[in-house]
Amino acid sequence: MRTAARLAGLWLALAGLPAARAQAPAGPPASAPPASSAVKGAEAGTLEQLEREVRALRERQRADDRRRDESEQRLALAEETAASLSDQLEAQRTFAIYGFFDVSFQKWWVPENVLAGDLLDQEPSFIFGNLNLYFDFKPLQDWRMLAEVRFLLNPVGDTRAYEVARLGERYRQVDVTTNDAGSFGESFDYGSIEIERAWLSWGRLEWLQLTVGLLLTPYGIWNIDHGSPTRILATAPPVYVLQLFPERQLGLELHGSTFVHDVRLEYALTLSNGRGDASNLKDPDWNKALGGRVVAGSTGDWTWQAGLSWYWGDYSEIKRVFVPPRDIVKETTVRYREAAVGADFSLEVGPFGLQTEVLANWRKYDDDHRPPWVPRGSESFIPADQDVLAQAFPGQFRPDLGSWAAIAILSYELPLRHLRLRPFVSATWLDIDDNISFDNLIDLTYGLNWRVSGAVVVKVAQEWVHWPNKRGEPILLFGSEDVHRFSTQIAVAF
Amino acid sequence: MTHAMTHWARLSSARSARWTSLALTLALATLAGPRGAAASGEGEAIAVIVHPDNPLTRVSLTELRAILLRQKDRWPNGAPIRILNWEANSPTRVAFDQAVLRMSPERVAAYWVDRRIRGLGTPPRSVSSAQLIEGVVARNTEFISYVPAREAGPRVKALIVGGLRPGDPLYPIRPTSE
Repeated sequence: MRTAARLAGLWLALAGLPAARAQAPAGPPASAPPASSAVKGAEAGTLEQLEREVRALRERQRADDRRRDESEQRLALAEETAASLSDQLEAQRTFAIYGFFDVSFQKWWVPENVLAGDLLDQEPSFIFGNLNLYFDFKPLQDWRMLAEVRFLLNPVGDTRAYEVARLGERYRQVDVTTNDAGSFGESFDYGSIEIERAWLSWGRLEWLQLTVGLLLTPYGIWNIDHGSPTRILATAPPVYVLQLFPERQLGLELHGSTFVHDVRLEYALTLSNGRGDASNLKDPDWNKALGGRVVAGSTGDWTWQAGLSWYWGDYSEIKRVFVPPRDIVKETTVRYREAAVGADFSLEVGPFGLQTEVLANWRKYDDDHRPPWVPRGSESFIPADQDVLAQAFPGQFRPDLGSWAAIAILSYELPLRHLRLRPFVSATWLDIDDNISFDNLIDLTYGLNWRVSGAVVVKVAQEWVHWPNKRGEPILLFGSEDVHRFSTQIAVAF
Repeated sequence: MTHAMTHWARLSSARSARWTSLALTLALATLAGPRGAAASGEGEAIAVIVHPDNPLTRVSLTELRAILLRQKDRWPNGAPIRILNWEANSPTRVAFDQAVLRMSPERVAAYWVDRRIRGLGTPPRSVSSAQLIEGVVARNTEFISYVPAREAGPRVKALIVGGLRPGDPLYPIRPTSE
């Protein structure tokens, strides 16, 4: 405005000058000296210069006005956007879909003279690992619902072309071939979907929140890390294959966190149907399982976390028997009580990383409901009357079981700028006191992880598995021969 | 008279040019466009900002780290803490993450991916403009964010971090000279 006023004043002054000059000869004052040509020339030059300056000032003013207008528009837009964004974020109703995917390539080397040689395929193969989708929904403030599903190529049961189930399991083959409605004569095999977790959480207080649904059991490092992009190892080590804790439970979890000085404390208490696929459908017994976890940790130059977990519950298998003339009796076939404890510790200092975990499980069967003996290291949940291997060894029953396992993974990030290469080595010790498949297991794995970006990880690993035979007796499943495996994996989070 | 007018016109022209130049500078300085580079000045403090009505006035680096990593997600009154982040790899974000989280951009990216896969939720919303950040924080008491100190206007409150204000030479949140 001030510029405009100055310009206007200047322009009026300039406009008035020639007019005044033009009027001068019409009424010359008697005392006025005659104007010389030199003065006239100088005035004309000054006039032209002033006119040029006025034109330049006008141009500048126009440019200035344009820029100011643009600036004001952008500021207004930014304010409007900020208001809109603020409203959106305040509403807090969000729905997000994300997930991860991994594919592997593996090769086993297994001696032919042991039973496991027939179970572990030695042909190198690509493996379709995970295609997991998360559905993350916040319907209201303080509420959150999370469902994670895993899409499998495996149909319900097993494939027709590749009839391998776990040792002792009866095949449940289902023909899943169906016509493709979109094209004549073309068919495809549909795969199945596994629900990894699905829960609803509520909490207004940081120190007390409630979650209900299908939960991943809060224990250890592996089960919480959960996904291939997050885990260091490409394949699940035997510690977790054994499931000394149940991987997931259907029930509720009270949990929260707080800070004591610089240390973050987290805690969780679970109440669930207990272990097993049957319990994930409906609890077959009256006894609920209890579990919990306490974690302390800190993030910074030294990032560390120490956790303690425990689980206590009953496992039951039932069947219904028709009793004539018109009665149905629920009969328990298998029943045991179990307790598990675990401790874990992780540390990151500069390029070094350490993860350790120790787990133990004790299992005691009811003598009246002790299942037949099965030459299997891990617990599976095959109904006893369907267990073909158990039927092959009649008269023998499963012993009470005490198992413990430990794993340590040490890694180091190479000092390469923008190239996150992390060699690692892991050691696993397993002690299963079942006197059946093996007593102890030692697993040594070394490899290299390349975190291409936050979302993409490439892993290469070589694994060596050894079964020390502490009793000196032949071990049915693996003998005393070593097994080797090479695996590589690419995992992507999206 | 003519000389006086010429002198005035020249003076006016020079003043106008200076004014125009000043106006342009001010306009550019307050433009709503990306201003991540503003924090890239060596050693320029990054202010942690909240709404003026937010009762929080001071915070330790540890608390700030816990908040920004979503390990602490409630204000003392139970309201959710809402974080507004800068776009990944923007100079302000990189400097802030290095000073507060002690993490490189790659590690921060991995942290949020890992957290999501563990089922702990999605990362905070990111924007690329100090104007936008200030505008949002100024409208909502639940937000926390950070901007180059000279961008923190009167509509928001800059927190005292580790007992120091952003104007203090020892204030801890600054770009490192890596």
